[in-house]
Amino acid sequence: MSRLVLIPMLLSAFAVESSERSKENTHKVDYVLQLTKFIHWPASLIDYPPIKLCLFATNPEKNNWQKIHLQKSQGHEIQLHYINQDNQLSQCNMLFVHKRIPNSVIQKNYYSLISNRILTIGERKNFAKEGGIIELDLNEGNAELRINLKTAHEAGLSINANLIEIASTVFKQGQN
Amino acid sequence: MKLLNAQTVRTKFVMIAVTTSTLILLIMTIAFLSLELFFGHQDLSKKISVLGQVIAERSTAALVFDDNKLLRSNISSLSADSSVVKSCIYDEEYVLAASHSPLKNIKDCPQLMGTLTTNKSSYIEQYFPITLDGQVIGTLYIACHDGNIMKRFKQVSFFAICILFSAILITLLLATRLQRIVTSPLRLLADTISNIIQRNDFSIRAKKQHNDELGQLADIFNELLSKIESEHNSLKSSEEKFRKLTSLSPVGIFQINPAGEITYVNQRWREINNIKHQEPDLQSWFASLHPEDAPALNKLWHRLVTEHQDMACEARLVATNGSISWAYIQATSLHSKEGKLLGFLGSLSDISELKKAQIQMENLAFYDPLTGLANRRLFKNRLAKSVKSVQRTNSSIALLFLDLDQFKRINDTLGHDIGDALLKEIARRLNNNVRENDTVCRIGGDEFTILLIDINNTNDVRIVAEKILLSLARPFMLNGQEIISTVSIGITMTPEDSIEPNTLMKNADLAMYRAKELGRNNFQFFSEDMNTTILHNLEIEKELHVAIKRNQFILMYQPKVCIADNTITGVETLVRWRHPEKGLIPPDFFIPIAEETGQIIKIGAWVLEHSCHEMGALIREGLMPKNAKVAVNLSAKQFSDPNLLQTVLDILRQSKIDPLNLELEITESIIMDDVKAAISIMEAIKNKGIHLSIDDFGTGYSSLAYLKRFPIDVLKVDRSFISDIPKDKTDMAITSAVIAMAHKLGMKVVAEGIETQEQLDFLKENNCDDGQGYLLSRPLTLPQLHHFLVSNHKQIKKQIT
Repeated sequence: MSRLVLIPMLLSAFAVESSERSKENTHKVDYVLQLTKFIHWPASLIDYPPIKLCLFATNPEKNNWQKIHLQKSQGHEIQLHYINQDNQLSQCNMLFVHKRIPNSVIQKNYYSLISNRILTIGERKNFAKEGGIIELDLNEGNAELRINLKTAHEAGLSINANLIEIASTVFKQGQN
Repeated sequence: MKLLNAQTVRTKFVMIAVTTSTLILLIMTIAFLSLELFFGHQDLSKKISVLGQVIAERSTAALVFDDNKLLRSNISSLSADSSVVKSCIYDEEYVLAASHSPLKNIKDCPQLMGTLTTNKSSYIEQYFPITLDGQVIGTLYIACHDGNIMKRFKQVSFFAICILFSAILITLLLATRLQRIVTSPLRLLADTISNIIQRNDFSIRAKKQHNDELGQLADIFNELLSKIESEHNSLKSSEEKFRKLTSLSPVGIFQINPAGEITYVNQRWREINNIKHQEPDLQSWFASLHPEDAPALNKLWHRLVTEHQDMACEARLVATNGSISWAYIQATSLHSKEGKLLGFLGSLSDISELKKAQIQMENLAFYDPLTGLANRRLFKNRLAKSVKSVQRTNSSIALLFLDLDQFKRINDTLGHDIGDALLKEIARRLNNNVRENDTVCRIGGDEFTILLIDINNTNDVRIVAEKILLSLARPFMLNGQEIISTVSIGITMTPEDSIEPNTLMKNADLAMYRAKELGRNNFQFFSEDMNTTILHNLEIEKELHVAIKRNQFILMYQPKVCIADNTITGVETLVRWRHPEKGLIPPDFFIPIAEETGQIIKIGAWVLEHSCHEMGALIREGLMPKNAKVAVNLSAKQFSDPNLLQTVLDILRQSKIDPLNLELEITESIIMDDVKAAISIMEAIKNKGIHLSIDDFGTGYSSLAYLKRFPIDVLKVDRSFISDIPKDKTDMAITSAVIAMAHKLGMKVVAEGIETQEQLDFLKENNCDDGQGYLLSRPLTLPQLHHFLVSNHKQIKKQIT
């Protein structure tokens, strides 16, 4: 009996957790969309829209991300792309890295990402510190940002001061 | 405005300057404060706008990423501006994201933006959209209080008011000072003018204080004064000349102002009006006018005053002593260049002497200077007026025409002085016998007329006429001589006889002639038959004209016989008119008319020519002795004809008879009309050897004094003396005396009208030379004369043998 009571409770808890997670994911997509609005790509890159947002095909939240597809940011459509291999990075303007993907992926492709002036946004802890540009930490509905200005600078991207201002941590030159 | 007008220029100047300055400063202050307020609000709005935009811009990321802390931080930065009282940030769904209220008494921002209300007029609210990538992601609300602005406004206002009052005070001081600069020279000018007026001295000049416009004004004023002084001097000079001229003027000059007061008169005016020292007064002067002249002059004066019509008239002035003088008054109105009445100027001339002369002239024109009676012109005027009056009033008037009987004889015999004295006395007596309203007139020579007005009937006139006859019948004692003069009066009445003045004069004249015909010294009323006589005479005149042309006259010859030896000494030619219808007409019926119309000249010439022609034939035939005379009567007109002598001589030459065979008979009256002229003519005739005889001697008024001077050959004693012989011893005595006197004067005497033997015997006894009459022979036609002469010739021959 106690098991019977526990199961619904567990199920219920799971359902709540699942719901919370889904809501968080939705916010995440929204935040990413908003983040794009604070980024200034070199003009040559976005002369020809759309802005290509790449996700690793292994991303478990594909459904949530779908709603960003064809949204507009700074007058450009955002097209969602899924990539399997690193060599496909060159076609991206943005790369969102799920928290399951280790930061090493970024480090490994660091130069490719920089040379392709790709804005990297990741969820994993120390993402900004370890080579990413913007680390988005969603915690209980609150977004916390960490920005690596050095990487952004190397990638030729400029970040709106307002965004920098709300960032909890900003990594500048020589702070890695 | 009335209050301002009542102030002095100084006060006006200060009032206007201060008021103007105050108004301008007030307007400027209000404008400045208004702008201050406006710009204060505008600045605040701009500042808030900038701040709001900055905050909104800065809050984008914070709002997107729900960074409320940062949002609060952003809007709390607005507290640096004390005017911001509240600021709120709302998210995309208008839900409050952050708020800030530095003041405790201000409500916090509401959770929903829709419920955000302040609505205070002292607040300035602004909303700023927070946009990201072109999309509104939130709204920033900022509310500001304008307390600072108002505080500053009050401070500025206070300062401005202080400046305003200071400016007004300064303006007042400056205006007071400035008005002195302006009004001081003006007051100086006014003082100068006042001095000029008080002293009447145009040599005073205004002092020039500055070289500015007021100094120029002083210069211009002084120039004006110079001109006025010059004109004033010129005017004074002219006035002085005028005064002197008027004082010397023989004409009285007067000047009257528009109020009717005499402002100037010259000495002559005072003399004429007998006003020596007292001030002349127009009303008193009008009172001195003669009552008969005052109304007309008042009327003219009224026209002058009201219509400015020049006046000129004559009027009598009555002096206080009652003496009257005539004055000729002229007056005209005086006007300025603008047409304003200045007064009246006039002259007064004493025309008493002129008037006297005028009256004398009028008297001459209308009165007979000798008798003082009305003359013909005045009489005609009065007659015309009276006739018109008669037609209006239905009354009657009588016109008496008087002609003195034998006045010419008196004038010639006693001289013109006596004649004139007689006329004057007659005039006096005539005047005494008529009423005052009647008119006595001397219309010329010895002719008078009398106009009797308001006559009731002819009896009234008869009484007056009889009184006149009686009055004139009394002898006149003139120059020690007693003279008897009678008058013949013709009377006509109007409207009974005529209403035409000329016809009335003619009627009275006719009636007077009728009176003459009826033996003089009587009066006759006009009657229509007198007109008939005139018509008859006119007809005779026409027929005479024809008779002269057609030789309708025949001659009769009455032999003259020597009483002593019964021989024929000559004939007297008598003219007859053989009228084709009326038969033989005696001379009494046509000779007077021929005499009056002048036809007698032609008839007389015809008679003379034929008489001489027949006498020549008879003498040449031996039927008449060589010294026989044909006697031809001369009328007055013939006698006075200047061609008489030449005509007679021509006829004598044509008829080839000796002047001794012609005897011209003239009546006493012809000679006595103008004795001197008559003697002259008679002497001329006599000098040619022609005999002259006086016909009808004794009927006229021949003066024996003249008679001896007349170159007369024969006196013919009028038949009136002969006819009563021997009954009338007086006639016999006169006849014998005349015969004796004639013989004494060397004249022959011919007795006319011998009809009886006794008469012939008496004449023979008194040695009368020749006789003529029915006893001796009737007037004979030429054949009868032939026969008579032949018989007489045979009888003489027989007696001789």
